[in-house]
Amino acid sequence: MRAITAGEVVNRIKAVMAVQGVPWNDASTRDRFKFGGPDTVVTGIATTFMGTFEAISKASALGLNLIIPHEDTYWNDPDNTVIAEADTLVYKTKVDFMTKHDIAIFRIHDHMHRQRPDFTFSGTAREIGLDPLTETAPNSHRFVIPETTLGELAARVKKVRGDEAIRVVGDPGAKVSRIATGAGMATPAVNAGTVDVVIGGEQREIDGTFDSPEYAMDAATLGVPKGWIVIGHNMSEESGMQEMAEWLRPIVPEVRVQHVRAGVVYWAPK
Amino acid sequence: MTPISRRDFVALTAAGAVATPFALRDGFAHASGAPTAQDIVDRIKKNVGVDWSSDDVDTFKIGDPGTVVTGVVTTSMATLDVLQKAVRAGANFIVTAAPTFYTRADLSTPGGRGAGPGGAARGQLPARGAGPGTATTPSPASASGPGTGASAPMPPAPAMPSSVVPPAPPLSAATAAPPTAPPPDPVYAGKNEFIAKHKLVVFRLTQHWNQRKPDPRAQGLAAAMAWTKYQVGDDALRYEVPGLTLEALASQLKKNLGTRGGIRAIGDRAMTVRRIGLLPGYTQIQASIAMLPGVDVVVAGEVQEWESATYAQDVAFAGLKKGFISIGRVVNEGPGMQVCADWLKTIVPEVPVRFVAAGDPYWRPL
Repeated sequence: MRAITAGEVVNRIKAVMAVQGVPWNDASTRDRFKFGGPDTVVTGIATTFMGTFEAISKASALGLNLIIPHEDTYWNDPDNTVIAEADTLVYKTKVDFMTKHDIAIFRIHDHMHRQRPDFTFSGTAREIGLDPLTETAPNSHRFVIPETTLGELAARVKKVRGDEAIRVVGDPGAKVSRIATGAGMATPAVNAGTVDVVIGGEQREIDGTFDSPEYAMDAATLGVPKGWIVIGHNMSEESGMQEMAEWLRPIVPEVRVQHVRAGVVYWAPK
Repeated sequence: MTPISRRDFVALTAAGAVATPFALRDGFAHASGAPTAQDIVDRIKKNVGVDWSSDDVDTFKIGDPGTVVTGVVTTSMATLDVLQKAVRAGANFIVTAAPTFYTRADLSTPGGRGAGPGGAARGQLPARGAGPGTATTPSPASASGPGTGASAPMPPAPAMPSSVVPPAPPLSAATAAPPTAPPPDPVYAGKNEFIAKHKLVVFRLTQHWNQRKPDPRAQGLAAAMAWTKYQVGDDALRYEVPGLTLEALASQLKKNLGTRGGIRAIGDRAMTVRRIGLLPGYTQIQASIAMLPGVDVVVAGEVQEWESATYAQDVAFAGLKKGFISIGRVVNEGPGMQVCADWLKTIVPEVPVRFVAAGDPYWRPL
């Protein structure tokens, strides 16, 4: 099969997105090449949550040199390399590795969130064990499950997901059934009257859009059933990159397309 | 003035709910000369050692500033639980580092269920990543809607110009409610009711307090960890402690700061750390990049996952012996407000002043 370049892959992505109702927006500063460029000959494609050194190394070891991360590569959302260049510990090592292994990185974030379904949501729902049939309406990100307690629900999420640094706010004994899910920073606030529990990625603890931790604490004091299960940005969006790999596979039949995890972020002390 | 014994303090901060009515009787005995909340704030402004700006953060959040103060409680966050403990201890003036009403705007009534609460649509930067022609002020309850940029990392909430912050609406639900009134929010209602019943006054003190040198959050954290004697020169952000493993350090932080599930760490658990750098509060990536090379481990308050956490992950993956620990923003404000209570005692000798921790919001599932 003839060689395909990163530029050709990206053009196909743009074309298919457009056909599926997500016209490409060139103004997106996120969704563009972050390393390498369109001329890179693609040996294989890895989708991943973030352009971590771990994801890039694992992909390269698997013979995949086009990395498609959902989030940034240089530890800041605009992928401003001037910020990263200030680092003396790992930046140069990471860039040298990418150069040596002929890596190209093309980020897909904004457009992915405009797709329906938004894989970051559907992937997470799948992975935390929420039955799609319990979603109240397509792409509502709201689920109604048989009544359980916050403690039991959180334990179930943790067991299915496997990461130890999951954090929960609220009364573990609170009776809950109405769930709203969130991906990354698009984690909804916990105060909606129609929601008992939010299972989401990441939010500012205070001074954010809404301080859900404090609200869930106060709700617990008042006996109002509210829960806030924070699984982490990575954990809430990584799953969807598996869906993204499956979406890409038929578009780029010439090379292998595989999901590679960006790695576990945090551990928790005993 | 009533001296607060070490035992009383421990009881209040550790057990939390222990009232000290007899100590407070003394406080009431002095009540004839007791200051109002406004008097105390005036003293804070005069003595804090930082030029007082006209920001909208360090202000009264609820209650009558003219209230005669029976006792002061400083806290990391004025949760209802903290307010209840304050009342049980006879205090009616609460000085908090974090908001009381769940947003930086700190409005005591929600903005309406459909429109998102409080400050959500008032002065917040729009969600980044929203494409042209898409909604830029999504309701937090539906932030995943089309075109909102979904997981778009958001910048730190900007200090809102006072011009865009409307005055707090009156408490009356009748005037605050839109034509089709949603059911009242039970959490706002319960908190307001408690505050009104006990005539509490709440003042937020964070922007100015945390500008003090040394940083009170670092100073207090070092004291809580018994690191003060290990401080490097006059830099309250750096400590050189006897070597211990990263895991042991994380566990000690968890224990000494009285936390539950909020502490999380990155890096080789078994590595030995000696040089500790503190990044109190909310920190962006630049500060982590500047600090990590010169220390073995950074102990931060709150960072974003796509910034400092990923940076630390990359450093650890490269095999470098560096650790990164996030203790949580609210937990981090605790030691700073403990320092604040000690300082307030010196300028408010008339009434008891004490610190009550809001504790760690987070627990971990089994």
